[in-house]
Amino acid sequence: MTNNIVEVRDMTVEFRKPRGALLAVNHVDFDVREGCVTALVGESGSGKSTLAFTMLNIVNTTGRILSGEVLYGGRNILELSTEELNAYKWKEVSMIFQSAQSALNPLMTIQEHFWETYHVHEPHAKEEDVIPRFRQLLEDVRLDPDRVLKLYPHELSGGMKQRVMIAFAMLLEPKFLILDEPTTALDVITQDYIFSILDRIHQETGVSMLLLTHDIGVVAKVADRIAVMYAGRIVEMGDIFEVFRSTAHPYAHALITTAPSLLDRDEDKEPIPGTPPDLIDLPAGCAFHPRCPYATELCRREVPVLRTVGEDHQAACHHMETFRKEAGIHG
Amino acid sequence: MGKRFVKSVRDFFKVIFRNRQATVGLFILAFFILMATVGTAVTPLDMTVDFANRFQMPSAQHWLGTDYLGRDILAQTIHGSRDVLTLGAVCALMALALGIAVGAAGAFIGGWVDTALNFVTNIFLTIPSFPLMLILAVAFNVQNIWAAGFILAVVSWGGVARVVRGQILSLKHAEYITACRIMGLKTWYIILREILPNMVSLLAVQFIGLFQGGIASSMGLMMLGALTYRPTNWGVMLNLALQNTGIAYNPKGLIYFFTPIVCLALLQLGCIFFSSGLDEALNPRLRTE
Amino acid sequence: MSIKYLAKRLGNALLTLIAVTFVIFCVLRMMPGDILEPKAREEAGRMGITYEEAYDIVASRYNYNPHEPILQQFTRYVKCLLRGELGTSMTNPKNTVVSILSVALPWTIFVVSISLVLSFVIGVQLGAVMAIKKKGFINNIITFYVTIVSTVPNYIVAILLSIVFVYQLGWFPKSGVYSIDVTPGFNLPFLLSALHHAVLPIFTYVITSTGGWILNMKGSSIHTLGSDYVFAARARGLPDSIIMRRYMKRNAMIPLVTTLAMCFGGMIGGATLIEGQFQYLGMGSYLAKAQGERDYILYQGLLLCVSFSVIVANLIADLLYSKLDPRIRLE
Repeated sequence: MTNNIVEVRDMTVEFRKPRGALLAVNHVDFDVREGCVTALVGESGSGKSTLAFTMLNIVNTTGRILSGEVLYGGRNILELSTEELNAYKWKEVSMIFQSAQSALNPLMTIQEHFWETYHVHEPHAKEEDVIPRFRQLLEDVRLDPDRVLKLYPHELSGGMKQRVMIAFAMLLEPKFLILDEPTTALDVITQDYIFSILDRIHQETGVSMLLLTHDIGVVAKVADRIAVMYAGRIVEMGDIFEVFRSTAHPYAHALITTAPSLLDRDEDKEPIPGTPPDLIDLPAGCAFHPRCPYATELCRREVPVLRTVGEDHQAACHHMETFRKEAGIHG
Repeated sequence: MGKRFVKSVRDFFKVIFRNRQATVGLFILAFFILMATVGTAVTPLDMTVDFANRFQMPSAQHWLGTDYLGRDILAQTIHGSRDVLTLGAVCALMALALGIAVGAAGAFIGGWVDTALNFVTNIFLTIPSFPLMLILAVAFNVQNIWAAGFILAVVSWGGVARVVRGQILSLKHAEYITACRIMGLKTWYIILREILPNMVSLLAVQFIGLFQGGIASSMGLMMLGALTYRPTNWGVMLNLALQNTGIAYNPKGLIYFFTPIVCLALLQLGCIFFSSGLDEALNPRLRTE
Repeated sequence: MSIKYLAKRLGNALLTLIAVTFVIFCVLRMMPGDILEPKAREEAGRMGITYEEAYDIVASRYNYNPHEPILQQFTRYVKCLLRGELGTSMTNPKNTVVSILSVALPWTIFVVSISLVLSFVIGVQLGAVMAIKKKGFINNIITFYVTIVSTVPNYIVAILLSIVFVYQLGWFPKSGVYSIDVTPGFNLPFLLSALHHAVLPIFTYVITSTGGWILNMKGSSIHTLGSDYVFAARARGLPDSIIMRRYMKRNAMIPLVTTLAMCFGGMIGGATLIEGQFQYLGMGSYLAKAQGERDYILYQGLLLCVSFSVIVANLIADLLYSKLDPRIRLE
C-alpha cells in the first residue's frame, strides 16, 4: 500500500481581475502518491499551476486561498508560521519552473544562488564545505561545475538553465518535486534529454514528482498516475493505465486521443470543438457542457462530482456510461 | 467618420471621469483655460501706476488687492494666465514637432542618419538646459512668444526624440507591423493607421510634460529677467515681487508674491493629475481591460 | 569590465565633448551685434589709440575675433582649450575664466553631489517602502509629499526657504560659501562653516528631487516584485528580508542608476537659480552674474565646464551601471 506525500483538501483559489473574480481552483481534492510520478494535465488556464502553487503556499499576490488545506506529514502547511513555512519550502518540496529563463536573479552567479538558499536552510553550514555538493549536483545533470558555478544566468543556454534548475531543486534533497511544464520553452531533443535526467533522478532518489503539462505524449512516457483538470476542477484521475484504457470523461478522452503520434493517421484526429471556458463567466453545471456532444439538461444544471469508476480511477461526468458505450470504451 | 469621432471623444471622457484624480486635473485645467479666454475678455487690465493705492489688502474693488504700484493683482494674474498657457503650449508643440521629426527620421531611415541624429540628440541632452536657455534668450533677443517658445523647445526636444525613436523601433519590429508589410500595405498607410494611433497616448503624456516643463523654465528665466517681453506673465510678476516689494520683510507684498506661485502650483497639479488618467484614456489596449 | 567597453565609453564621451564645445562655441557667435565693439571703443578712448588698433588688442585679449572665418575661430579656441586656457572675464580682465572656475566649481560639485546622493538614497528607500506596503498611512503621506513637491519648481522652494530661514529667522547666512573668519583647509571650523552655508541649497535640492526618485523606485520595485525570479525566490523559502534586500531593492535600483547622470545635469543647470537665490558663490551664481553683465567669454567657459561635468557624470554612471549589472558586460 502506498502513502500520499501531499493531500490537498477542498482547495479553492480566487483571483480578482478588473472584469471580475474567477476561481482558478474550485473545491479540489487531490493526492500525490509517494514515490510516484503524477501528471496533472490541462489546458493553460485550467488551474493546474495554481493548484501546484498551493502546495508551497506561494499563490500569486493577486490570488487568494478561500478554503481548503494542504496536508504534508500530518500538518496543514497553509497554517504554518512564516519561519516554519520557509523551512518547509525547498527542503521538503521544491519546484522547477516553467520559465527557467527568468527564475534566477540576473545579478547573482549560480554559486551565489545555491549558497544563498543552502545557507538560509542550514545556517551553520560553511560555504567551502558544501561546494563539493554543488559540484556533484551539477555533474549529475551533466554540467561542468568549474564553469557553471561562476556564470550568471544570462550566460547559460535554455537547456543548461533548465538543468541548473533541476540541480537547484535537488539541492536540499527534497522528498517531493513539482515540475511546472519544465520543457515548454525547449526544443524536442533537449526536452528528451531533460526527461531522461529527471527519470534517472527519480530512479536514484525515489523522489515523488508532480508533472504539470499539456503534452499527453510526455505523460504516457513518464507518469504513473494522471489527473485531468478543466476550468479549475479535476474531471478525471487515477492510475495511468486505467485512465488511458477506460477513459470516463469526454474531455479527458478528447485530450488523450488528440495527442499527436507518429503512428496515428491524421484523419482520425478531431480537435476539441468550441473554445476554452471563460473563467470569469463560467457556464452553469458542468463547465465542459458547451463543448460536449453528450451534454443534456442535467449537465447544464448540476456540477458532476468525482465518482469511483474503477480501482484507483475516478471521474466526474453525469453520462460516462453513455459516453463510453458510444465511444467504444470498456469500463 | 463623424460618428466614430464623437464616440471616441465620449469614450475618452468616460475613462477620464472614472478616474477621480484625472477628473480633478481636467477641472483645474479647464479653470485655467477659462481664465485665459473668458477671464481676459471680461477683466480689463489697467497697468497705470496708482501710487496712492499701493499694497492694498483684498477688497470688493480689488479681490486680491494691489501690487507695489497700486495695480490690481487679480487682473494681472488673469491676463498673465493667457501668456503662460500659450507659451507653454507653443513650447510643447515646437518641442514635440522637433522631437518627432528627429526621432522618427532616425528610426525610419536607420543607418548612419540614425547614428548622427542620435548623437545630436545626446548633445542636447548633455548641455544643461537652463544655462543654455539663458544664453539663447540673449542671443535671440526674445521679443515675442514665438521666439520664447522656440528657445524653450530647443533645449527640451531631446527627450521626446529619444522616446519616439525607441517606440517606433519597437513597433517597427512588432509582429502585426510585419504582418502589414507582408500584406503589402503602403508605408504611409502603416504609419498613419497602425503606428501613429499607438503613439497618441505617449505623445499626449509627453506634451503635458513639456507644457509643465516649459512653464516652469520660462518662469525661472523671467525671474532672472532674461525673458521680459510681457509685463503680466506670472514669472514677470514673481520677478517684480522679488525685486520691488522687499518681500523678505514686507508682509504687505505677500499676496502679490504668492499669487503667481499658487497659480503655477495649481496648474502643475492639474497637469499631473490629468496626465495620470490620460494614458488609460488614450491607449486602446489599456481601455478594454 | 572589458577594456573594449571602457575604450568605447571614453571615446564616446570625448566625441560628445568636442561636439558640445562646438555647439556652445556657435551659440556664442550668435550673439547679436559685435560683442567686442564696446570694449574696443572703451580701450581706444582709455589708451588713446585708434579703434582698429584697440580692436586688435581686445581681440587678442579675449582670444576671439569675429571677423575670422568660423572654423578658424574654432581651431583657435580649441588650441587654447588644449593649453588649459579659457580666456579672461570681459567685465574684470584681471580674472581668467580658469581662476573663476577653480573657485566656483568645487562648491557647486560639493552641493550637487551631496544633494544627489542624499535624494537618491532617501528616494530609493521610500520608493521601496511604497512598493512593499501598497496601501496605508505611510503611503498616503509619501504620495501627498511627492504630489506637493512636484507642483513647485525648485527655485520657488529656494525662494521660500531663503525668506523663512535666512531673512525671517536668520538661521543661515545671507551669502557666500564660508565665513571670512575661518581659514580654508582641512579643519573643523572651516568644514562646519562650509556646511552651514551649504545647508539650504542642499535642502532645496533634496526636497525637490527626492519625489522623482521615490516614484521611479516605486515603479521599478513593483515591476521587480512581479518578476519570476522573486516568485521563485519565495518558493525557495528565502525570508522576506533577503528578498527585499537582495532581489527587489538591488534589481529595482539598477535602471535608476542610468538616470543619475541626467538628474545631476538638471541639478547643476538649475544651480543658476538656486545658488543665485542663496547667493552661494558656485557655478550657478557666476552663470547668472555673467549673463546679467553680458560677460560672454566667462559664460562660455562656465557653460563648457558645466557640460563637461555632466559628460563625466554620464561616464561614471555608465561604468557604475556596467559594474552593477552583469548583463551589460558582454556587450
